[in-house]
Amino acid sequence: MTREALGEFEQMVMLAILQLRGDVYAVPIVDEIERRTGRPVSRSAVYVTLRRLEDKGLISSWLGESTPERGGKPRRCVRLEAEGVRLLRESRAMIDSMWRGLDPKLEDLS
Amino acid sequence: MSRRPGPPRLARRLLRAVLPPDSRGDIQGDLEEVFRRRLGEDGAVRARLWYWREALAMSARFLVESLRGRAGRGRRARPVARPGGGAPSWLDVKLGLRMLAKYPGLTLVGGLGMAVAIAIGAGFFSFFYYHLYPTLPLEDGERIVALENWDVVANNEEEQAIHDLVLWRDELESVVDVAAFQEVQRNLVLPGGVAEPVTVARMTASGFRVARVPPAIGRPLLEEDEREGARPVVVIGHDVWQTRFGGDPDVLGADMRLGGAVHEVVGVMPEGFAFPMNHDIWTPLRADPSAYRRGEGPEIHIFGRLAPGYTREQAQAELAEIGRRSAAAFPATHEHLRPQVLPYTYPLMDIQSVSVWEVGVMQLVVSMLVVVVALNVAVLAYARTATRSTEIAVRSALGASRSRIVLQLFVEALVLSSGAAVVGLVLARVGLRQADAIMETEIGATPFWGGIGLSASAVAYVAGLAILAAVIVGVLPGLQATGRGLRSRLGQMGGSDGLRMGRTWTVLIVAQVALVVAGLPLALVTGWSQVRFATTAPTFVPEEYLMARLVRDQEPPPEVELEDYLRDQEESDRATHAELVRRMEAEPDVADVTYARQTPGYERQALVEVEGVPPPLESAAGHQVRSAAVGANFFEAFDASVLAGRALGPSDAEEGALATVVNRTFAERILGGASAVGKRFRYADPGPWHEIVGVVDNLHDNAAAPDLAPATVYHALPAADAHHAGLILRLRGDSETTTGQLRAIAAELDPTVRLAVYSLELWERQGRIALRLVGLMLVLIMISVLLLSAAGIYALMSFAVTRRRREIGIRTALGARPHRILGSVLSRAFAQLAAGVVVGIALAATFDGLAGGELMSGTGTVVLPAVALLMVGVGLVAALGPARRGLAIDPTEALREQ
Repeated sequence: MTREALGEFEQMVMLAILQLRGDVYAVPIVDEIERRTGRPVSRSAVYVTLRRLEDKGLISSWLGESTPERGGKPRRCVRLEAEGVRLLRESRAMIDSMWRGLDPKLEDLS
Repeated sequence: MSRRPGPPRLARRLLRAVLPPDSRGDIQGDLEEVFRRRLGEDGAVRARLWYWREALAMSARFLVESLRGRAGRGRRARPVARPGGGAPSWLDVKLGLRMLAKYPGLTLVGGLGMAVAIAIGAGFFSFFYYHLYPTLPLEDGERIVALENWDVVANNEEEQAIHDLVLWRDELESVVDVAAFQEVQRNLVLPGGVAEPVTVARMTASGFRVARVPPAIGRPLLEEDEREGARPVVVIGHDVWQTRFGGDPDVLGADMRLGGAVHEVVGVMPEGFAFPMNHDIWTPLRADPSAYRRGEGPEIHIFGRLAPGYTREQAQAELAEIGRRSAAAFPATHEHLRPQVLPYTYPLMDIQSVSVWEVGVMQLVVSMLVVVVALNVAVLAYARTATRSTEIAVRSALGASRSRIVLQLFVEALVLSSGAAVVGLVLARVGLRQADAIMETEIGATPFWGGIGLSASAVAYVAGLAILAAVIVGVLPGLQATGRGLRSRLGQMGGSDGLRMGRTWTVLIVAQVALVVAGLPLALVTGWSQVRFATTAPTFVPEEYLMARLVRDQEPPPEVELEDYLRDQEESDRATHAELVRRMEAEPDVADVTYARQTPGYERQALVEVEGVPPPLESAAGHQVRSAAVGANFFEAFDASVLAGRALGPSDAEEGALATVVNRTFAERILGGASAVGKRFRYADPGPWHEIVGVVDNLHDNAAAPDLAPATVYHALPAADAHHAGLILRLRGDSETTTGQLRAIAAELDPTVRLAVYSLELWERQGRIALRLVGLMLVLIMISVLLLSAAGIYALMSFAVTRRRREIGIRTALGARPHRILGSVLSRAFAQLAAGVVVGIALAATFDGLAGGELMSGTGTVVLPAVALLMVGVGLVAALGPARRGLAIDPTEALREQ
């Protein structure tokens, strides 16, 4: 079976979901990625990525509470699915295996 | 306390329109949450700016997603696109947006031109769609049909069809609940005695079954209400209930006096119900064929519902068969009648046998406007694409397929055309609202199925136009730019030669200049004459005048002979009118009372032959005049002074009297200023000679074009016929108070008499609305045509200069004089402009010749050269910028680029 590898941004979004506590939705996800990477994040890219991850069955979503600050509109909360966790682990293993044994070499180069 | 500012409304609307429905709420909620946070941290201005930026980015992103078919949540993900493969990417859109910003001239001119063309297309589409495919907001509304008798000899609808109504109701199987209504005007007499004219739908009880809307209170009309001798009943609409009965829940059983008869209220329909057209008072229609001979009786509209399982075509076949039998049985009345089954609204909107095919062709012609504009923009885009030929060649060498490159150019063009489509839709909406407002003034109210709005189909049509425009603007130049010679261009990289300006584009520019030169004068002359006509203004103050006409409910009782009935009515009208004049003269708020057959400014048009004066050159049939029949003190009431001779007196109104008065324009224009008194004229359909006994000042003048003030003749209206004319009141006070008094007096004199009252100011105002619309359209079309022509020439010149950069550099280095270089650069533009102007003048002359000089009304010798000069001027201004850039080329730089 062919399997799609996770993109870098997809991984960031999924990791941000894992890092967060409480209601996890797009606003804290954007904040979390910006805080940890120090780079501005395109909000629309996050929404599109969340939809894509849900389409792939890697995350699931449901409508949460609505508050007056949100103009009475609900939050779309998300959580990682088992398949998502598995793919994240795989991605990490792939990267780790590529990194293995490279540290001395990098030190020589720098 | 001031309200906390919210996110920008327009940006919110944009998001609402673009975001997929299943994510709209949560994404908007997220943005609002962050907006509130930013409001506290950065202040309102920055927070709003931030919201706009996010909204735009989000809209663009989701638009692309929807184009790629990923709009819906839960859809299966498509396989990832092959690198360099088919699907357009967000990057293409970004690039498109960047291109728009980089070439603001192209964006503005091309976008505006397309927007205007799309607006016109959308306006026409909505107009046709509204009339041909109206959606009735009723249960299974599409199954409600109209049945009518089409008279093939008179080419008209035969509405006196009470016999057919009964026959069709009894025999048709494919249409159930066959019903009919007749629209009548009645005076609604209120408890205080004040009467107000209202429109009543007399409808058969089956009409309510067709509508399938139950009453809010009480019952609808029933079959027993239609019986001979039944108690008069009325069903009222929600608004009537609220305004006339104060929303009284115990309204059932209340009396309502309509004209001469008191009706009992038996039901109230729910809010918004205005079936069969825009009605809110319903009384029973008695479908009694025994009361009338075949082909006589009230004029009715027949309708019904298609029976379950039947189509309109099947119903048509069945009705046609019944029609054939009727024609055989009653040849005198039915031989030339062809009954037909139509969509419900067609007869009500006077749409007869319009074929969808015809409308389709018309729509296609209108859509061509977008194609023409898009072709122009394509010229611009081609010039732009040409400057990017190197980039395209490199991409191609790196493995991008031709389709990928063309797709990118298409997406770039789509970004532009989508923006234009949005602006076009807004423009169309504004225009349609104006049209609706005019329709509402014309017919009194919008029908219950709504006004002309932008339907979902119109939006889809506009989307189609935007895609078509993007294909023309993006794909055509793209295909040409990526065609043969692409590889060789890679070999010449660094040389600025790039693409060649194809012959197609040159022909296009020439054709366009020609069309502008030929078309603009016609548009200008037509538009200007409209404007000149509309600037004719009254010399009196229209707000001071009210006009009222007497209308009577024509309801001959069955036992009275029609002739006797009409004679009695005539007598009664005469008496009512005389008393109304007497009473109004006594009113302190009324300065003058007079009467006239026609509304001043809207008199009957006629052709006259004047004794001793040859007919005008433009019309051998006679002099065009307006003819009015007025009361004796008409001129005093309008302060029109008598300039020569005398005014009309009572003796002029006697049987066989032929004295008339003419206005100043008549004396000056037709008689050339000679003394008018004593001259004679007669109407073109030879009748007796009328003698002019006086000249009065004009009631309408035209300061801008004095020759357009109408020449008018006035005849005296016999006092005995005054009740057929409109009563004109000159007021000292408020028109509403006087309208109320007029109605009260009329109702007191005769409750069956209705007064149609209107202010002369309203007539003048309607003329101005039409003028504004014509003017606006003309200005928009002219601006777009001129801008596009200028832009085309500009693009052509820019392209020529860019292409010849190297050559110019070398020539400058070799010491060529600037004016020679300028001359050679401009020569191409001149050649094309000149060719266009020559072809245009030839075209205009041909059209004008074919129309016998009518089109330009003899002003072609002035307008045509003026437009030609304007085009040359616009072309030169457009060419100047690129030409100056050509002169500024530094020879060393140009050669170093090698």
